[in-house]
Amino acid sequence: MNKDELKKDTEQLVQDFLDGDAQAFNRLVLLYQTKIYNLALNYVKSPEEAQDLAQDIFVTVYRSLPKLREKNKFSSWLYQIAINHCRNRYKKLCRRGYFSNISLDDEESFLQIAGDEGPEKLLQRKNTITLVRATIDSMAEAEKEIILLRDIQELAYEEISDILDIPLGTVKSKLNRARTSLKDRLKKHYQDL
Amino acid sequence: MKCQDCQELFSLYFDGEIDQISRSDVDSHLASCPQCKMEWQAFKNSIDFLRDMPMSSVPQGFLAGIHQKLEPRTPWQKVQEFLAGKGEKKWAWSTAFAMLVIGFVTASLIQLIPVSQTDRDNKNPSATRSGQVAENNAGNGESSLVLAQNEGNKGSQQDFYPGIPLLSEYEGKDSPAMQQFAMIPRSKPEQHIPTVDFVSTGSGHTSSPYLDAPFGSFASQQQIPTIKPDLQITIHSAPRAEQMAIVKQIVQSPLWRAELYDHNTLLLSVPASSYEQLLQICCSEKTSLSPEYARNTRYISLKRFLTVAVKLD
Repeated sequence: MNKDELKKDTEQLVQDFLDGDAQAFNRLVLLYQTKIYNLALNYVKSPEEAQDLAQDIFVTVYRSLPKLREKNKFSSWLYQIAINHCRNRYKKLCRRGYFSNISLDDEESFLQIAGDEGPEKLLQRKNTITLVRATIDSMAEAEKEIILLRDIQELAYEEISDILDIPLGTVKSKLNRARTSLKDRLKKHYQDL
Repeated sequence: MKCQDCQELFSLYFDGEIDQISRSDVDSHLASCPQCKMEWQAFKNSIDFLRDMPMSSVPQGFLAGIHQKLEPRTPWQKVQEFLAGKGEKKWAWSTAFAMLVIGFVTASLIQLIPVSQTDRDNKNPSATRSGQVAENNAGNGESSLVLAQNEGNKGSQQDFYPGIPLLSEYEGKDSPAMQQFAMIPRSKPEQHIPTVDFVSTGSGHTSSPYLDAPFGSFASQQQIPTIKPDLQITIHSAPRAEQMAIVKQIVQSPLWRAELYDHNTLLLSVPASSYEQLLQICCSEKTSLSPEYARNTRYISLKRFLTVAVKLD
């Protein structure tokens, strides 16, 4: 499903839900659950915690959807809620020392690599993913967020501007800085990439 | 185009969000600058790799879990979740704050409750006793107040024989005589000196168990103090001359201070060290002591002054 189709379907489902179709919400969840779950996973690392966090995000969406003013901006609104939830949960878990206790196995367990590559290639790819994720985690929160939204969630500049509530020009300059920072951090590992 | 300007356009160049003129400038710079070309390659590779990273699939029962969370919970379920630590942190803080406020208010209210006079009296039995004596002496004006204060100094030990000096009052820390009585109550922290109560002898006065109400010519006088001596020596059935000889001997002795209380009673303030001499003077004749154990000097503390009443029978 391309972006235009997704946007069109989303607008229709939102309207259906507001008209009283309870099933429309289920279809909205199915459309966005993978993206929101992976966004949560990038913050909290553990699949169980990410599932709980993503579910909480959709519960908030269900309860707040009638208050949504611009129906055509559901995606930005959803990501705004998601980012707020993720930030809050991340801070809460940090305070509890959750990330100092989480093991490397837990962190790697959500790397689901499929493909017809050989075992050696697969292992190498898995190691690289772990390395890139660790690099993203080591970045400042603002840089990390903008990279997640643009390069992993593949959102448009305008959407990122709406979600983070910053001007479009700031999005562009911040994104360039974040990407350059990521490139500099990964430079020493380029042989592995 | 400078290298820095070129590298600042990498992000827009990668996303295709750059105008045609800038794109041409970057293209030409990259073609001529190997350093920027290498940086661009690294930039492109890192983003390509990010975009190629696989998305994790959502766990089973994800949607069902959302519906479960949307179902209304009973208060009991909310309590269970709270106890399991699933509740919001803010509620935990609110609860802690509320508990703190309740505790503070309760403590403040307790402080404001006045303690009744009865309660305070119960905490100080001696004060109660004094109060009662003072009540008995109602009408005596300030004398009753003085009596209450004096009684208050006697401490809280229960006095089974009112007026009779307690054994413990004779106890001194360095008194070797008392060490042989293991069952004698412990002494009070500070050595108690028996007090003399100066009270009116007018109507309503409770007489001393040792001295009857003043009589004879002195009885008509007002404001004669009633004494509670530590002990009383009564000289019985001796010829008047002998009795007077003893009195004379006592009065002339420099060891103690003697005063005439009434026409047949002397009051002595006797240092405990001189008590034995007094006994030798008085007890040569037929005498009785009250309390009787005072006849044995080992019960007398060496540090005390004794108030002794010598009465001619």
